[in-house]
Amino acid sequence: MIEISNLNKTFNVDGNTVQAINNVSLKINDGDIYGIIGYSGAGKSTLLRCINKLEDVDSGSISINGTDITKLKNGKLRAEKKKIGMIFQHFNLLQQKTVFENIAFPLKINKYPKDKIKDRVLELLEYVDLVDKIDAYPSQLSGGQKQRVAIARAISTNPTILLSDEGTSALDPSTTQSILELLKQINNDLKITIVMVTHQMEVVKDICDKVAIVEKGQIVENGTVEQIFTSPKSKTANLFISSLQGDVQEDIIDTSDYDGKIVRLSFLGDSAKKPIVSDLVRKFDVDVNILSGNINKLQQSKVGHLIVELIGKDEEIQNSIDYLENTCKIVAEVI
Amino acid sequence: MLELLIPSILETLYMVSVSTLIALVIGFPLGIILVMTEKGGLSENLLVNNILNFIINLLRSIPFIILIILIFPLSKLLVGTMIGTTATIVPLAISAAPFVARVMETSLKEVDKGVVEFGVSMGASNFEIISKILVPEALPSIISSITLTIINLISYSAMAGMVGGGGLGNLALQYGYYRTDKAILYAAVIVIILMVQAFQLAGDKLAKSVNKK
Ligand SMILES: Nc1ncnc2c1ncn2[C@@H]1O[C@H](COP(=O)(O)OP(=O)(O)OP(=O)(O)O)[C@@H](O)[C@H]1O
Ligand SMILES: [Mg+2]
Repeated sequence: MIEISNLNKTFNVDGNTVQAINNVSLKINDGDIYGIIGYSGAGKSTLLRCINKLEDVDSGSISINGTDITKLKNGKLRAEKKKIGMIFQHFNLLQQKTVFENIAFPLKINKYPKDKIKDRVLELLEYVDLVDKIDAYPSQLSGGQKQRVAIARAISTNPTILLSDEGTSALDPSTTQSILELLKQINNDLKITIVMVTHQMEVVKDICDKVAIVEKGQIVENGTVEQIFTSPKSKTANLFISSLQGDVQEDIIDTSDYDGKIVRLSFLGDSAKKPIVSDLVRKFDVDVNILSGNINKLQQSKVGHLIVELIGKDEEIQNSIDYLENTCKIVAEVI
Repeated sequence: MLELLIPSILETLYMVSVSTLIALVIGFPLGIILVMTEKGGLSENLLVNNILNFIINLLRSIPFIILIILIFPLSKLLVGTMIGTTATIVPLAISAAPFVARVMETSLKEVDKGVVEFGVSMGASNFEIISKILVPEALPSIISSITLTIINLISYSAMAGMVGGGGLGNLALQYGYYRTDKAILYAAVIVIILMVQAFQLAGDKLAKSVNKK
């Protein structure tokens, strides 16, 4: 388990201080795929880089399975870092070394038995499906292949945690999908905890179990992806959800154009299957006008959003909203 | 003419190769220290960095011909004589060492910060990062830097003739200037030009062949 408590980190640039991380606390359970999402400059990378002490912290603690990594130095720190793999936006492969040498690199540094290195590298290359590239140099690989090599390299020494800083941000959508699938497979097969920094809500939607939304160095909201999708509280969470392709276009609906009440409905899992619109019309004296809607597939379930105009007496509208929330377990929000 | 040229060529090669080696032995570690101690470096130490920078700049700002005279006593101490081919190696090496430190620093700085960060993130020690990441990744550029050093030393070694060192420069001076034998003068100049070209060509080829980027 990774337990971050009251973490603070400032940078000094030419006499100006930037509070990159402002009193952040966060718990990441073993086996989670935890997303950290936020806009540029929010402090995502800094937070991630504190976890493997690429950055020193000002105050607070980060305990990894009970060891506070912020207090470690030299040899003990290096030993702890070996249990944490990392992948990067720009892959960071050794350009002058072959795919084989790149993957063997952490093994050699970790004094892995020399006669077993070749087998281990082959096993990893099979896992990431790149055996035929064993003697290629990074410059001869596509972006997706480079990231596969980087992933094989990151997991070569059997770490318990894998950190990804925008690991798919330099890739096209279909390559992104294949890398995300590989990461999911790694999480599933090897039970590695994955912490993913991203600015793409698709990534969170596609593979994360939980997500933290970071803004100006603080976590403004966190929880399971289902929770955040069905009842986002912060403006940023809302913006990220509506950034998803085909999502409800709240912004372009001008409520003053309509006489009735505009309500945003978010439903999860089974409630997505219920015929709620006809239900409402039958049970209450209201008319329902659908303005926009969509459905998103998450890790474990589906989340739907619907924006409707409810026309009728205020009391009837209130009753319908209560019915939706209490009986149908749908989050309804008047906008 | 050949019996004059060949010993001079050998003397030049001797001066250049030995002084290059010494300059590398001194300058290469200094270049690494510069990169490690700079702001944001792996073992940032601005005091060491500033002192080293100051010394390097100082040595590099002294004209070579003055340096030769300044370090006469040192040459005498080290090789037992102030003049002659071997004695010239001392000022040559001393003038090239800070140059090497500078070009090595530049080569190592060209290495993508990301691969160094990968090394730090996976728990490699500073020594492992230098020897297994920085230097191998900078190798093509390091080879080009060494080529540049050799070429500089060829031209500097020609000045050695002024202080009784041997080599092609001395030959040109003795025969071409004092005895006004223009043929020897031109021959010496042509050989120097050919030597520079040959080293440049070989250096470029080698740098290119090891570069996998
Ligand atoms: N090494 C550094 N020196 C000075 N300031 C820094 C440094 N690293 C980050 N910062 C500052 O800290 C803040 C958070 O940066 P960080 O890189 O963590 O953001 P991010 O959320 O990862 O952004 P992006 O999506 O652009 O990568 C920014 O204001 C940034 O300018
Ligand atoms: Mg970042």
